[in-house]
Amino acid sequence: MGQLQCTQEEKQPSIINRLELDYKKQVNNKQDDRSNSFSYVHAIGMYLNVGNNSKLDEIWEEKLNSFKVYDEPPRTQSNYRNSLTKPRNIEQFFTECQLMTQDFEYYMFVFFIQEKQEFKNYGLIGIPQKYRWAYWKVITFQKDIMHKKMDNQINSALYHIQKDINRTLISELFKEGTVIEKLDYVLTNLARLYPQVGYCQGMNYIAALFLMVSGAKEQQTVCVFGELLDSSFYMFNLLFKEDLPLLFIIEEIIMKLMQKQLPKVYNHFMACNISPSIWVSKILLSGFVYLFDLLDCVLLWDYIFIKGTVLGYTDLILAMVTIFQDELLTKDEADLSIFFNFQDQKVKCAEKIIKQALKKPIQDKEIREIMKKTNKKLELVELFKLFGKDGFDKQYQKYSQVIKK
Amino acid sequence: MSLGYYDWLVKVIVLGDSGVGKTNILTQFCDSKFSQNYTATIGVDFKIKILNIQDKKIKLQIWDTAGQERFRNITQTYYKGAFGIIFVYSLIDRNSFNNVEGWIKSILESTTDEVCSILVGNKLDSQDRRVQTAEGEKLAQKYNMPFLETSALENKNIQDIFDRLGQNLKIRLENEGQKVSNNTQRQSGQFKLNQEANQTEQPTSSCNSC
Repeated sequence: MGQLQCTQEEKQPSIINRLELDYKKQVNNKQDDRSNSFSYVHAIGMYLNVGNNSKLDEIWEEKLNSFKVYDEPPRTQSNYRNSLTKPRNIEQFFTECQLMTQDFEYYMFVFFIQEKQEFKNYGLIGIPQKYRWAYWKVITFQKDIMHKKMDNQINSALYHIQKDINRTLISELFKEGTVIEKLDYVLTNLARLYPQVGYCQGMNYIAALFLMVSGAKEQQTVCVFGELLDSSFYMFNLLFKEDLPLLFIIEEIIMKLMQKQLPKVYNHFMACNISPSIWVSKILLSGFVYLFDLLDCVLLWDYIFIKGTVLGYTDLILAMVTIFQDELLTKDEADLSIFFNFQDQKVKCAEKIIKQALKKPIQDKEIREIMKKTNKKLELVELFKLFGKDGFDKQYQKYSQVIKK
Repeated sequence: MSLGYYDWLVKVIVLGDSGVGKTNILTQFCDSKFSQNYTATIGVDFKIKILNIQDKKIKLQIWDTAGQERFRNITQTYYKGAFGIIFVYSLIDRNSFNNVEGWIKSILESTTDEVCSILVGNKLDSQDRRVQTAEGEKLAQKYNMPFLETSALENKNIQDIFDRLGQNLKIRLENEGQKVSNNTQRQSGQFKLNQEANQTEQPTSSCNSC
């Protein structure tokens, strides 16, 4: 693991005073202009305003400003940074990492290094849109991702990427040639970095969401997505590789937790002969994008990044079933299978889901117990029997396809 | 979602390579629309439609599947109990036609039940045809199934897919009904009769080849 990885052992605080976002007060002056040209391109993130709260902006600005060491001279990139007093590892990081260029990204990085738990707490209170991509980068980055070896023998992946880049229409933006090229860049480079993963449908939706949040910064998107594929916390290479082994493990965990925590709903699904896996697989493989409103997806991803493991998904899925349990019990087979198509139904519920997820995050011990009891022959059962324990990382290296540097 | 009275409930799966137009065929058939903003299907999707075949109503439970090879593990879990299969390729994608036999074999390997199938060559509206009609016909004959060329975009022959499939399903289901009356012990979840509507007939297990 990279030295910058957020430690997962820290416990989530049980109560977070999450600030409510005001969706009506969004300022989106360039909405009309955008349709004329993609020249506003590099601010795509601006068009993904998830909601404002001026209090939230103030809290964050105050906090980030507290990491300013001196009054600022006119900024001159690395020289500026080098003039600051900072721990050696941070200095080295900025020398090598060209992907963080803004001052506030630097302050945010120091915040993360010095006060990890507080950094997460701030994220859970809410992240202003202007800081969101920096937050996602800081919490996931490893400095050496761009130095990884690339594989050029990925013809099969390229064939499938070409089929999908023109139909990743999560926004009108993805009809524009320049944006499609960027999506192509991200998916192709990920396939080259992780040739044994290559390309799996669903990755296109996640990449497209990240591109929007980042403001169409394709290299940075590769880095953040690459970290998800690489890391032993997110393990996305096991999610997307041939046979999708992590998907089946997470499905098993969710089914067992539903059986235990929400037996009525679980039994109702069984009686209707509909497996929750029909929407669990969509959520996992597309990062919620296939089913949820785009702005909701952004908030749900905040949670996943803050949780810092693939189990962020598990918390959120259990939370959404919990919230909607009464309604689910009234539905028949056809309605159950499409119940969570919130994008089509224009339902926005991310805030509620996150609040519920914070109440009862899943514990590592529960995962181990489920894996010990399961009678399903799943590829990763032995690995997940060690989940959260010392031997896990070592075992993960055996199962995963982390590329040679 | 209540669709009222029906005589039989039948599970149908749509299979074929990624991007051949499976979802658009279903959207055209079930919702009478074609979306230019189409997206790749992840995992499986599900639709319900009542089909009227002469005096009978068949409730189709249609499973739309993702075409990428990597999703086979997911889609195969939905093969069980399927009574109708629609194999789709694109007339402008030679690979998708070459892969049809792979899809047929995946069904043969996964289920011992005989099913009603139909072969569909989609995107008839395109000028860039890469698979000739005769080739499709020949393949369909080899596996003893009906064949149609369609355009989901122009809504051409889409209803015909389901009418042809429905005709065969009806024949099978009626034959099965007769078999059941000779052998009341046979049980299966493969397809169901509307229990409230017809208490005398019971679900049956398999059917003959088309």
